[in-house]
Amino acid sequence: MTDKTIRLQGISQVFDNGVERVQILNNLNLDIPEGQFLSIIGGNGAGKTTLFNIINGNLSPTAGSILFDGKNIARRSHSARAGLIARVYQDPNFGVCPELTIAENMALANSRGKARGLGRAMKKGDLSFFKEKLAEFDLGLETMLRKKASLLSGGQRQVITLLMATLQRPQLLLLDEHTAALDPKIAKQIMEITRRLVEEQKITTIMISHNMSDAINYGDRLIMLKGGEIVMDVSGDEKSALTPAELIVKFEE
Amino acid sequence: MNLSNLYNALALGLIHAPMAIGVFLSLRIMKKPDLTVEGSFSLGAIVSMQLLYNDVHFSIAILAALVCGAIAGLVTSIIHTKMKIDVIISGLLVSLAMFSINMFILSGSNTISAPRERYIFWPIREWFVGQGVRAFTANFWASIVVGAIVVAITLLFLHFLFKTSFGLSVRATGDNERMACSQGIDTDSRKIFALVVSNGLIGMSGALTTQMFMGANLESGVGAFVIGIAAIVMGEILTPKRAGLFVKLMLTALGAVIFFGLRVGVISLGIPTAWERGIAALVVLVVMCVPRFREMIFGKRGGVR
Repeated sequence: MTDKTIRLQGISQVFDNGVERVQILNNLNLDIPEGQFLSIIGGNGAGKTTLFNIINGNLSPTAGSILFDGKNIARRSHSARAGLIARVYQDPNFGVCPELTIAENMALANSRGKARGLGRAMKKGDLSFFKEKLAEFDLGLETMLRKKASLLSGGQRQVITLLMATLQRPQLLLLDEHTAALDPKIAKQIMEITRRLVEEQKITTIMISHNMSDAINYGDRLIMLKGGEIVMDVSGDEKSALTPAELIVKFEE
Repeated sequence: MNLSNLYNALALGLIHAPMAIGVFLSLRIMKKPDLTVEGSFSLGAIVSMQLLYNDVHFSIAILAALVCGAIAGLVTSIIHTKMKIDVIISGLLVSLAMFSINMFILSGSNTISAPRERYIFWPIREWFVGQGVRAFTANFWASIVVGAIVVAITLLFLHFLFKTSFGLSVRATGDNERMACSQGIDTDSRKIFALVVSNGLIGMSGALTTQMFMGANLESGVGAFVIGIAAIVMGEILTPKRAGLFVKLMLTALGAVIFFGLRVGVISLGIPTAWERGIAALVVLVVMCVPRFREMIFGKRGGVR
């Protein structure tokens, strides 16, 4: 029985350019049980994005370890972690290759973290599988498989990126304000799609959000980061009883 | 423009096409303006000519040119990816160093030329002559046949490569590196691979060109990059909006033929040879301005390229 809880232990990040020394994260400890949907809120500079960069390997932490299945992955390269971790960025342009077709983008995601050899990129049955997956959203995307991803709107890109991130179930899904660049109606739609995808596959998820009500309404646990430390950690009834107004008060304390 | 000019343009275009496709690979697919081109082109030319001069079979000479070009690409891409030096600087450095390497291979002389009986074109030319074709025309036909075969092989190779899982990961790296990385693609290795293949093709093209020109010198590669760009832009002018990658590669080869058609056409008007490069630059300029002219006349095309 392996330990499926993802453990962040003693994570610190210090940026030091020789003149200034800035401590972004300060000995942060966080355990995320398998299947938990965790929301992170916090002001700008609280260390949320730095934390994500450390988890997915864009950044190497000054100190600390990240345990997946009991193994520390903190020193593995970004691409070597892709099999474990999928991330959806705020900017819809980060998620897809504009010059490739939607089907090709999905084929890339379908072998996320796997060796890419000289077998066909688009295998038999892939296309109908992708079609089926896209049809579930009921947004008409299934008819666009052969079109270039550059033709997609920001919202459509985020939907595809979300689907791509979950096509091969990741052990951890990172959502980095993934609805912040979208209009409120589309953002709500994307949040519902997110909830469905995450619940269907019971994916362990961390979501950064600046939207207080999203942070309360979605997921089973909420933490607040301030000055690189966790200042609030609630879940269950305590979390659902929160109101956005209370959170904002807490935010400004 | 008479018939032999047409043959000449077709032959020149086909023989330069692998080089244009190589430039397409670095510039358009990887979005890396790799300036190793002129170095690897002249390296391919000089290495193959030196080998032919020493009575090595043309197949080995051409293969050696391909490998040498590929090594030049490898050096540039390693400097670029592992030392994090801008790709333009990396390419310039390698091209600069190539000048000395080429001088070394030429071992003292400025030019080198091997007997034409050793060229890849010779057996085919002989066959055409045997069929009763005039020797002068048979030269062109031999180049056209060789060029067409090489271009066909190059296109098929790339077509099947980009259909593979690995090939798709190369395209993704060029298109959106961050996305490729988060899909678990080791992007450095893809960039290195692309520049190796690109410069290998360019070196091979250099080997073929030098045999058509019956000699190589230190300046064999001058202007190669610009010719490659001209061919790409020419091809893009003809590219339909929804064209796939294979069509784009094919049209790049066709672009090379059209470019040389224009160049041979202009020179056949009786312009002194000293002006040849000036004319070449002018033709490239005109070709590259076409998309802008079209915009000015017909308005912007919707969508993306």
